Amino acid sequence: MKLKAVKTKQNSDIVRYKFEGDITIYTVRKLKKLLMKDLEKNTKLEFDFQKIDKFDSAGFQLIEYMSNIAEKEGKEIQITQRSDSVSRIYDLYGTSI
Amino acid sequence: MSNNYNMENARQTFFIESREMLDEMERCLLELEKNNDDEEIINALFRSVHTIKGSSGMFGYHDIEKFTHVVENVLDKLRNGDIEIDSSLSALLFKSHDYISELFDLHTSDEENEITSEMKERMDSLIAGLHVYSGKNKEESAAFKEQPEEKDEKQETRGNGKDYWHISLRFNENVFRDSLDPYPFISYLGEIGKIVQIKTIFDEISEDKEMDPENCYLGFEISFHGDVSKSTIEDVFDFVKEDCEIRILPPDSSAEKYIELINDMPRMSERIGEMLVSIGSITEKELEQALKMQKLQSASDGPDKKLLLGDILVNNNLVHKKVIDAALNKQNDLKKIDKKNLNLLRVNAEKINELINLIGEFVIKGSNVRQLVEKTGDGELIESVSDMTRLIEDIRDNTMSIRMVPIGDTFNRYQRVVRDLSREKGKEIELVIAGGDTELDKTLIDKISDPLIHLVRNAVDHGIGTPEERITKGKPRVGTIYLNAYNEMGSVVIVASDDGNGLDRDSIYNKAVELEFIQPGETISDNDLFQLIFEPGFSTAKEVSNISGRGVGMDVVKRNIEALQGSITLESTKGEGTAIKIHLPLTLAIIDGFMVQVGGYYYVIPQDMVVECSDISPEHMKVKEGGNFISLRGNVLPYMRMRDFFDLTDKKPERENIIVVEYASKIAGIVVDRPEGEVQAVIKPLGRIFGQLKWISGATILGNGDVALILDIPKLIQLIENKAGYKTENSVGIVQ
Repeated sequence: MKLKAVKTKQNSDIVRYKFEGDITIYTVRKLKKLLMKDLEKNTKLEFDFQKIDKFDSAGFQLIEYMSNIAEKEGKEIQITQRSDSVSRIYDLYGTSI
Repeated sequence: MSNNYNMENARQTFFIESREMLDEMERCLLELEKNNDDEEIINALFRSVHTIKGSSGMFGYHDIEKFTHVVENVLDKLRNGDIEIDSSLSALLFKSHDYISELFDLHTSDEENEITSEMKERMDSLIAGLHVYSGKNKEESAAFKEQPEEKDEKQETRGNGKDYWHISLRFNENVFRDSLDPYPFISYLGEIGKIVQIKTIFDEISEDKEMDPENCYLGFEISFHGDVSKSTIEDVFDFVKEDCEIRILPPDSSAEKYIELINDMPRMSERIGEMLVSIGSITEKELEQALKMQKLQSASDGPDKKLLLGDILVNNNLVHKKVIDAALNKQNDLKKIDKKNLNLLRVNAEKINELINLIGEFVIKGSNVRQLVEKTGDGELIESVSDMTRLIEDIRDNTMSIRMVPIGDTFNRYQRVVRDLSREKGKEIELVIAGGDTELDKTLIDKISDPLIHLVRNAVDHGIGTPEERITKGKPRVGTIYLNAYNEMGSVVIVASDDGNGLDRDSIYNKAVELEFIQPGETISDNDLFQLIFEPGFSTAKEVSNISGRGVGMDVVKRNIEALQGSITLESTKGEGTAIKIHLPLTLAIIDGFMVQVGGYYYVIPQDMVVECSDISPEHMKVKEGGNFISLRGNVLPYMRMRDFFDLTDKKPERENIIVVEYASKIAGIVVDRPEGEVQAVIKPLGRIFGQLKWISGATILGNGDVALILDIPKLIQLIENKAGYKTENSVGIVQ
């Protein structure tokens, strides 16, 4: 039920996150706050989901929501790596990213 | 009640209903000859055969089932517009109808009958003929391999890989918070079939509201392929159903399947919703929801703007429009059938006769009680007894009406007779029916059928000429026979008329002289002359045909109708046509009567025939003495004094009364001592010993136990006429 995000600034506008733990209904509220703040300041967010343990529909919904917002503002969100649990959901639901 | 008994009952019902279906089939075929692309009729035709097939299979009459199946295949093609009905197909179907009817005859007869080799041959040739239309060769159908074929077709349509279930899911906001995740449910779909495509939908989040990541904004549009039922799919989401809106739209091929199912269901609920649930097109839950929507909507928009359930289902993508249309058609069909069948209760005629007898006794006892009570002078008692009497009258009328059936079905049966006969004779004749809803006692209808058929045959055979003859006479090519029925003065009148040649006065005159009904050179009115054709042995047909002209016929017709207390008259104009008018009493069992007294005895005149009743002063009578006429308000009225008729010698009352009666457009007066008033007369037949008394038609028992004779007014009017040497106006008229 824990989510750890390691944030590394690539350059002035790009932030890369390496997540560890769960992105689920229990963590989406905090994660949203974080991502919203970072999206304001940057033009691109990169997500590494390789170490994600649990990923549910709420997680999927948040990531998709964020990428929609980014798109609207002319920004970008990219998923670089996926764990099995993330792929599972994305394979089923499909995605815009 | 044993099972056997029930089965036998059901079997009887099956036979009766199948006969009705056969009648319906015949009616449709006749109708199609006039109007060969009427879809309604083709559908009705299909249904009638389909029903016979289904139920005969159920009762184990496989020969009927097999044969009707072949007919049904052809009709199915017809229904789908693959083939069109032409005269040879029509003839084939008529023959098939007759063959099915024969099969039923075979099974309903008491003896165990085998199909004769002649019938077998005929069946084979019919089947061969039908196959030409259904497009199947003989080998294929010999084994009636219908089932596997159908399956193959279905699999083909399913296997084309192009039509999918469409599942639409919308989750509530709270679904995540309720610890539910759509994922496992959707992914489970992959285990019962193949998820072809998923489109993930995000609900719009209004700008003034912040997106709450714990709310669910997700929706899915899923294309799904799987050989499952709708409810199986719905069951997948059973666990989230409270938090989710589900719409499942079946694949196109299922739509076809549903339509097929709808058409094949022999009996289903009349309500669209239940119909769709029963074939699995929508689920119970969907129906519930749709009904709720309908209710909500009509509550907000007013009941007159109520949306149809079908529209709601289509608008919400729950059902294909095609399926709804099929269901609506079916609903209409069912309603039609219901009108004919559902509200009917089959009752053994014996039971009704028994009931009518009891009511008869009841009526008699009732009037007995009334008389006794009137003697007591107890006001309250008299009042409640008079209430009761009124109720008894209602019961009587209702009971009598149970036996009344419309004559239309009987008339319609002659359509086929006219069609077949006129073809045989090379004539073109149309049978026009009017007043088919005129009601007549069932017993009368059964007994009138044969005489009527004879009249219709006569009209075809003698009345109407060939098209060529008719054209040279300046008449329309197609001849017309009219059958009309209507109520008149407590009796039912049936008129059978034609626009044919009319009777040939000269040949009837010659024949009458030859048979010594009249003297050579005797003058006789057309009207009187024509009535002679009802005499035994009188036939003027130049050649004896297999239809009529054997001299047995009109006399038998007349005898049959008189046996029913009816009368028959004929009017004919040469070159214009013939009209035969039959008067029949409404019923034979209980009548409203008017009681009179003559010389201390009571007599009953059927109330319907009484026109008026007035007293006559002796002076009035004296002036007219010697003549048998009286002037009633300026009109000449022939009359008869019942005292004279009975040769009564006791002192007659100071003032006598005249009862004016009318029957079959003839009016006469009957002079009696005293009118007694209305009674309900339960007609009791008189024994044979009274057979010679032509002027009574029966007897009835009065409340006090006395017997009153019922006067046979038609006979009396005739008698008065003869005595008076005067003919009352009598016109039949050709009904156009």
